[in-house]
Amino acid sequence: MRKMLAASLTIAITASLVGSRALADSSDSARVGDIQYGNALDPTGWAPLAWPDPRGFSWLHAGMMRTPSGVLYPYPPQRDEQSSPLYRNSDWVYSGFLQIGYLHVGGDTHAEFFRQYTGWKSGIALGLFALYADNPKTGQYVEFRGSRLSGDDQYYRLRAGQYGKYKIEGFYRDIPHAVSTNAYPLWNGVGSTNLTLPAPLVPGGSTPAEVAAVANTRPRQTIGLTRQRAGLSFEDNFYRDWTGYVSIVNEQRSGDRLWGGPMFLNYILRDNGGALETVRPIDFTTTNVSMGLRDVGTVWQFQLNYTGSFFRNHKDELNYQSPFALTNVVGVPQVANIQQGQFSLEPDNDYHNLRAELSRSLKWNGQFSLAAAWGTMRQNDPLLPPVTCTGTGGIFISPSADYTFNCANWNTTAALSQQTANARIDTGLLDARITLHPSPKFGWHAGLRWYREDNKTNYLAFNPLTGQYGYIAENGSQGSIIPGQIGIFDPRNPLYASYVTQVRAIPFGYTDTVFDTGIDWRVSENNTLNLTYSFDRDQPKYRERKLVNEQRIKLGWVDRALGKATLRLDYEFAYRNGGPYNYDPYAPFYSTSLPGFVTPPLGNVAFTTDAMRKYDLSNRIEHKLHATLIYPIGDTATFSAIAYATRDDYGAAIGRQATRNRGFDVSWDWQPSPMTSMSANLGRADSSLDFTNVADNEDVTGAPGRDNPSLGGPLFPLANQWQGLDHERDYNAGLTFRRDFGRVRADLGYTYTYALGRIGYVFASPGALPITQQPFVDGVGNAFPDNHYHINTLQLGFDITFSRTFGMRVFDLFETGSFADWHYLGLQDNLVIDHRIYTDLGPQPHYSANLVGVMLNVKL
Amino acid sequence: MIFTTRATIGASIALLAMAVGVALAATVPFDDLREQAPLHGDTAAGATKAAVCAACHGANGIAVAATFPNLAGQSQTYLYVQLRAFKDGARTNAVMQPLARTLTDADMRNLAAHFASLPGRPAAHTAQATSRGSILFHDGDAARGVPPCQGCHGVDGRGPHPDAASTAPQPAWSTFPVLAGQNAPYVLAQLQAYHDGTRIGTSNDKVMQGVAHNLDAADMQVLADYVSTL
Amino acid sequence: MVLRSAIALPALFAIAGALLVARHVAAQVVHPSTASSALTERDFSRMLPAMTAQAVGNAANDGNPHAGALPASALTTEDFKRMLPRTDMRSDADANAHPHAHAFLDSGTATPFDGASIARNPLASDAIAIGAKSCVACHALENVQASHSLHVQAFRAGAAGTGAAAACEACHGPGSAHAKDPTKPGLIIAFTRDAKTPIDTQTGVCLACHKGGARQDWIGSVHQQHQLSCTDCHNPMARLSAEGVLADNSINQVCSTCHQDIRNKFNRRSHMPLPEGQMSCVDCHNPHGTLTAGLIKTDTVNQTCYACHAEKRGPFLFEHAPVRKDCLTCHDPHGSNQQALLTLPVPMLCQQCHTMTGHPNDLLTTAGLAAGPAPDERLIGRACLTCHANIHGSNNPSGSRFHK
Repeated sequence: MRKMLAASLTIAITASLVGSRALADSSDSARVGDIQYGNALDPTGWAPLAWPDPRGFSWLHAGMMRTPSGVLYPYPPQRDEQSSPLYRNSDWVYSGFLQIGYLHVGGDTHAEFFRQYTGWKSGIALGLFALYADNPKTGQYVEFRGSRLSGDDQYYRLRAGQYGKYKIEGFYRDIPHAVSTNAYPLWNGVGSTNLTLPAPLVPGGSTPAEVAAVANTRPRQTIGLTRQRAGLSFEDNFYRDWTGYVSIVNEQRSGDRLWGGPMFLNYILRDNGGALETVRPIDFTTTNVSMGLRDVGTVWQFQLNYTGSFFRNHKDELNYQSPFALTNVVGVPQVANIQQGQFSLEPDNDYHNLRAELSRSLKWNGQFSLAAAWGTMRQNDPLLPPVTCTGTGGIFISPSADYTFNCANWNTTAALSQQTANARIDTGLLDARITLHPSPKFGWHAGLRWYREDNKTNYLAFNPLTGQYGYIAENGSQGSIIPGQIGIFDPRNPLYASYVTQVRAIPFGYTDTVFDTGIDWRVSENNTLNLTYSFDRDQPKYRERKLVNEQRIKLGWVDRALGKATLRLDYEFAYRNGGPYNYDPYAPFYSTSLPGFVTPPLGNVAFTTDAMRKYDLSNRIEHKLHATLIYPIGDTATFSAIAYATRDDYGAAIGRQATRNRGFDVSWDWQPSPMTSMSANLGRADSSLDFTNVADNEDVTGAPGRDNPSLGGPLFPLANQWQGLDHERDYNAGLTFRRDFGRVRADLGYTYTYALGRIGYVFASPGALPITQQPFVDGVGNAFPDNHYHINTLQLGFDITFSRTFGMRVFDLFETGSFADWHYLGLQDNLVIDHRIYTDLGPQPHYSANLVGVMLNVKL
Repeated sequence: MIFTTRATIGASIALLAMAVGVALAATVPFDDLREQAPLHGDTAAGATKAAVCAACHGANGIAVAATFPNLAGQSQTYLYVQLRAFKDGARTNAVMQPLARTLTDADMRNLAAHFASLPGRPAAHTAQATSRGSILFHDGDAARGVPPCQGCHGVDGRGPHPDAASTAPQPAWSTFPVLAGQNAPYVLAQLQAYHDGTRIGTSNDKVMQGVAHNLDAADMQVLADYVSTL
Repeated sequence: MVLRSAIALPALFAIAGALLVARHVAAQVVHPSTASSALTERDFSRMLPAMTAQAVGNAANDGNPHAGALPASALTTEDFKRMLPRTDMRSDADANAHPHAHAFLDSGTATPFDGASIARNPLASDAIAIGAKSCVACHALENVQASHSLHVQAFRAGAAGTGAAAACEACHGPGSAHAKDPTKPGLIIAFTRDAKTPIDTQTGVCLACHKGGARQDWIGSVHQQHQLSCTDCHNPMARLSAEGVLADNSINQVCSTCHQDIRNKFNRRSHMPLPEGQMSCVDCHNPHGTLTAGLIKTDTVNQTCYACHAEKRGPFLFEHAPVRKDCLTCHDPHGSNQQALLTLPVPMLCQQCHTMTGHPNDLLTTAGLAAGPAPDERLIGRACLTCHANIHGSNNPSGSRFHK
């Protein structure tokens, strides 16, 4: 122990620089990530040390003070008699705490929701090891915390420094994430880049029944990943008002996730196509670097910050085999056996951001700030070939209708117009704001912000080997089932001269300018009104609208003495409109824009209906109301409540129509003495969202009128309209109780969560349904079965003190849940449905799990 | 699975029961006065019990010797909590403890009411405002870390004068003693007890312990003298 | 000048000696079995080291005003002059005249807190500083509790360097008026519910030192406009949290005091690991104010997401417009009743925009469920994502529809 401390101290002291006067303090809250260190056993990372001191806070009065808003501060924890000199005659004192013991998990311990982000495991666990050493004479300190539930759920955190001068922080942590604990992948090689079919299945040559027979024998697996993060940071007030800091965080993310695998649609063509739920590997390394300088003077404040992020994917692709044969709908049987699929996984990328902020204090308690930032996101990964097939793909009908393609012309990177992605987006930010408070009663602020994302990616899908444009859709499967739908455009070949396909990357970007101004007015000692107006002018590139304006008015009222209560009431109104809506802004990136494109006699099939308004760009009227009340009850209790309602109405004939949100939460906290505390909370939230859509009339896609995008036209008849309605309701309740009986302390916690979701639908006529479902129109009802998520968690613990040094904690955590989601309904019986293969059965419909822990507490 | 769950729950319940069974520790007498409400006893009933007290504290609540405190005009609640402290051992005194142990709670209230109702001793003589005692009492001595006594005991030593406008958590003002007219030797002895940490059995004592810790012998003497002139 | 040095020198050395003595005594103390009993010796040693030290120093001064003849020191007279605490009674007038003038220390071992200035209390403009020692005489238990707080430890370290430093009064303002009439509201700068000190004055006290950095954009921020004080979220008078000098045990608890609805959203089926203690609100939001709406720390929402989900940054050869623009178009980072934080179940989520001719625009019903009469891959399991798996963007030459 002493050695360890001495080592830590050496680190601290070695790093110590001869400092100057300083106002340095941490800027953690300005950096993204790794702020919190805890786990499911103790989310605060502090709980064993948070038991209140029975003496309370003051000899002068009972109870605790309240925050300015009226919430009671918790009683200070008992830590008084723990510090001891580190060694004889040392200025350093230390205190420490160790909690170590045995956890036993029983019941459905693999339930997804029980271990979503927690590596529960039966065995020895380190609840908390905390060590604090400080030198009151020099202001130096060393703090360490660590906890370990299992090998993939642990953290260790070290902080050391000298108050106001420098600080070193370091950490190592593993965070688990269970994506599915109920997965039955068909393939071998899960977690690698190659998914192969187990014997006796044959790629492209097995029947659904054969696949199903094998699927039923596959073992249950857990799909998930672990984030292994380590970081180091240093902050130093190195000269006068100047502080510098640097931090580096490295993450290795390993595991796998559920993924997909298309071999063309199966629903319209029974015993054809393929929709495969595969598993992809996760093998990422991300290194984030942040460094900067700041000068905090009495008049000027300046900061300069560089952030860099470097992502490396060690598994660039996913290859998978499909067991199913594809059948061309016309023509002679296909000559290439399309049974191999491939995904490009995320490319490596680099990110740099340089930001400078300058503020000047003004008279009238004012401040003027200017900020500028420049950033760039780049990646230049080698591109994979368009397909991995061999032989000849596509369909041969006749010599004049030869819709085949030679895989050899496409399964090589020589088929590409460029070998690497060369993708890049540059970002720029300029921000200026001014705040003035000419009197304590009145404040005014205004700001202007300009932000741009300039996407410089330029990719042309041109195959120099064939002189064709476009790509091979769905691994070649689409063109091998439907003649001509390979995905290629060729102005020299009448078979492909009218084919509409994407031939260029679309460099989406935008420029967003926001002006805002507002006033704060303190009407009376405890009443404040504030009013803010903002105008947001967004200019997206290559989107349906070139200009989207949103104006917003916020009105806030804060009453800090409404009776005993604090009330914060906010109302917000926003109105969004913009320029003309172009339902097909992507034409420049499609073959239709290339020279040689021949518009067919019937015209091109309309891209979509012109009545569609995408909800991120559509007109919108928004109202928001939010109220927060904090009401002190006597000297020992607080009631608090929030209520809110949001209403959004979108200007769209087709697309998202409206959303509604409303809810309330109430809570009651009571701390009659340091020995007892109790809290209860209850909440409900309701939300709804409705949207409309219109099914195209498939009969018209080869007939006159197919180029008509109008709602109510032949392609998008009113009779094919339908509406989807989502309703969700959430109930939450919780209860906590803590009591210190002296030698025994008890704590009880209960959490209740019940979420209900229902998707309803209405439709004008069966024309809205897929052709395949139209025969069942009478049975389709008007809603999907309700989804629900219902969890009860009860925790009961006792801390027993044996001596000043030793004690123990015994606790039990019992969790039970039930779950339903129609996405998985019916999969329990069969993971293979015609040419569809599913891997994930979804979260357990019912589970109960129990965790018992017996821990030894040692005060060091 | 279910069996395992039940088994673990059973095991944990057994362990928890054991935990509850651990005996609670005995506590050292300590009177927490922070939530003490003002008390009102029966003055007449108290008078009937006051005979024993009169031996030292005088029939009119003015002590027969200056080493004993004057009780007349003292805060009723203060008198009560002191009797209670003697009774439960939070305040030690070879004479008072045995006497207090014979009293019921009602007796203590009534006695307190009785003595509180008696007129306090008028100031013996007037102290100079510029005296060291007066300065300590009214201004404290920041260099030494001595806060002004008047903050809690009132500018005239006649007890605190809480500001009705304050909504902050308040001390149990009624448990703070009136100092005016107190006997200097008694006050000195108490200051010494606070200073030495021998009178620390109540939450108020903890405050006085902190205050007296910074007083030296001369300070305590001049303060005791000054208080007796109020 | 000479007089000041004469006082400071013995005080300094007395502190050092007293600390050693105090430690030695403390080490020998047998701790009482219950905490509820007396204020222990340790409590006293815990109180300002200066408290003991000052007494020793004063005693020395009383006996011999020239006890300042001490062993040679590396510090010069000028150093000591600079190190003299503002709370020194004799320098109070100067401190009040220049409340924000800081004592500069160019070298030496003293900490930045040595020169802390006294906050100005507009409600007690005549008050003068009395020093921490007087404060903790009455506020003995507060002193014990506060001594575990990083914030107060820092001031304490300052006190150890130079004597009875500002400590309490650096934040609470000069204490003489309060000490004489402690019940009268406003005579001390208070940071609690009953404080008569205006919120702006409260935050001004904190910001006098904690200016810049993460708080550079406090003024005009949503929390400032809503009349929050620093002490609504922080309690520098006790150590309640592992880090951050918070007003509760963790960041998430502090935030959920008001944002209960958000806390409850994290109880939903899909959520980021906040309830599991692996993350906090402050991982993404800077409650002290930022240049980006929603208190987001980075230039845009997406940049914050990319900090952990760097693989989604790309840019990709083929981009999905709403993905590139704003993750919140499809995800609710605070929790959702759908998988993967989606705001609506797939395929409905996608069908809000995708009316394209062909398979996207059909109404899918219960008939298409896995157990239905016409199973439909657009509905089952991962629905649309079964085929369009690279929905966040594809780097494949054949990936324009995110199939590859």
